Amino acid sequence: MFISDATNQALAHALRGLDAQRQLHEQNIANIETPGYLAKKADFAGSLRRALESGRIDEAEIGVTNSVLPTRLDGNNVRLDDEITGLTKTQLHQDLVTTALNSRYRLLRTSWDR
Amino acid sequence: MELFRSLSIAESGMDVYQQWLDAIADNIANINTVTPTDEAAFQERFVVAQSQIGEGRPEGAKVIRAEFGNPLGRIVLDPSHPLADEDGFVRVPDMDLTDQMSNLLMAQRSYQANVAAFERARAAYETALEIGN
Amino acid sequence: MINSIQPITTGSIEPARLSPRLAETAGASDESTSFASTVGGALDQLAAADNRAAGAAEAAATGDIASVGEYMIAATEAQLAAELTVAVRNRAVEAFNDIMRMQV
Repeated sequence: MFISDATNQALAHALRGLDAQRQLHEQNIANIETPGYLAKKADFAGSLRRALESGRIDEAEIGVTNSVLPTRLDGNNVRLDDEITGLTKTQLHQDLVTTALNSRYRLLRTSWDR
Repeated sequence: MELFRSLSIAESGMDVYQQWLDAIADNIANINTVTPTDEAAFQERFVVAQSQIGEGRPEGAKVIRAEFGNPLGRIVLDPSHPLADEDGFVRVPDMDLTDQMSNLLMAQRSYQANVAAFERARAAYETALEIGN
Repeated sequence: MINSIQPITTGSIEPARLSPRLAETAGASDESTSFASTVGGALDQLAAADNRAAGAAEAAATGDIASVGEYMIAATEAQLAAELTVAVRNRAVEAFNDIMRMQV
């Protein structure tokens, strides 16, 4: 087990993706009254999954897309409930990935320990 | 792939009841909307919800369409109204305010129930993250 | 007071044994539960548990894992397997050192 093997790199990429997700939720919430503003979303899971299958983790990307939900009269389509629940999901997923990364490091230390 | 399925399910419930609340608010705002007799009356707005299942697993609920009530409304006599026809009649919506208010209470309670479900599910996931510690 | 020095024969030293339960857990198949098979068994278990945990970690990263609990259990089992292997290895080293001291 190397310190930065494919698994750890994948976990690190997931952390970056979840960070991007969280920031976009916050930005959407900040812009809930902005006329013409379309809600944005970050996606990393599909790209990461393909990168893991091909073995080339550095090809994993984080994409940003606009929401295609119908807009309100002011042209804004941010849905507050979706953004807030999205923040919770992103936080929980981040907790899981952080725990996973910590577990990997702890495993390495245990195997080195006298 | 749905790691936090319970949260998504509760979220879908919140969305359904939010849309219902929007519909009821629209009905209440138009409770006295008058139209001429040669046009349709304001029609009561209903939302139709459907349970969602994907690959045999529950996926919550979704509003699949809106439906509208009686376009004929009720005909009332109001000769002084600017939209009254030559006989003095106008159309008003075929809606009852007390019905709308009790629907409002139901929608609000259901929304709150889904928020509670969301919070409980969140606490459960946080506990799961402590396994092995 | 040492009157005579008795030669130590290998017959009087028994191979160090783990408790039967621990030996079972480590997957030892022979009845003699020699250190080689015990350590080998622990290493095999560790490799398997480590692979499972790595797979579960990758699934957790993409969100494909079936549940949070599934990842946490795989990770805990890998951690315990590693600690077991380290404990077995440490006992082996201790026992070896004890034997080396005795031969002086």
